[in-house]
Amino acid sequence: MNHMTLKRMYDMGKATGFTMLFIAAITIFSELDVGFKDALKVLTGHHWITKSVLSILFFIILYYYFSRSNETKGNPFEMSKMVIAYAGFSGVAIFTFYLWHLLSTG
Amino acid sequence: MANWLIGIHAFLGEFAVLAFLWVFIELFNPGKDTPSRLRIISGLGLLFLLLAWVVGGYYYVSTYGSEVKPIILNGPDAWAHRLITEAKEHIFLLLPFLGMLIFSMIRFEGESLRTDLKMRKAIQWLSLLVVLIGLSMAGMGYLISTGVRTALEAGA
Repeated sequence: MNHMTLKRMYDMGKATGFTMLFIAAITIFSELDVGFKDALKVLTGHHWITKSVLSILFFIILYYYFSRSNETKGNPFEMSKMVIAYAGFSGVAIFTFYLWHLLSTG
Repeated sequence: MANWLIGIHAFLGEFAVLAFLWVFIELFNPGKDTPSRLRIISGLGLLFLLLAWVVGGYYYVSTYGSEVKPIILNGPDAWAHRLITEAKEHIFLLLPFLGMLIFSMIRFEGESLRTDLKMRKAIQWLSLLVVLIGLSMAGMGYLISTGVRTALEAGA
């Protein structure tokens, strides 16, 4: 596999990993700040649609940003471990937050 | 009668899981046709995830919030919405990006997919993650349906 192909793969992996963290962050923050959630709702009519659109835009911007750098490190297996760790963290963070929210608000 | 959009959403999600399960299993012992076949299978898996996103999202925004959510919240298992639906609708958002990454890795890798063991392992682990998150979506869907059923049985 040539250098450019490998780099595109890493760039996409990094963009995917950070996008998943972004989804977890925007989800939790929107529940903690009612004004922010309302602002998300105003943008498209529903906070979930806005989060979906923002996550796509975030991914595209990150992928474009990474693709302009010359950095390529690690191997595909390391990249996949990073993505899996970020996905696991994001999923657990979202679920744990809503569990905490349920228990704390009765 | 259950909303038909829910059936389509579940169908798409389950077939996406099957597609990435196929990718996971075939990469244990790839053959001559594996790269081209997995491009199609992972592409279909990604397409199913994207369509499940649109169909499920449309149902969630147009019907669930106004018709289903109030029923669950008035029933004995309000946690089915407050925990399960809330978590499901957001954890789902991880799946299309993972699906796109897997599809892109298979497409970028091309014919060397058969000989590149590290790449195969990477794709297998990511595919397994999609399968596990996808199955958890199905389980959460069951819990949400249970929340509606118990609410209706309680006369909510």
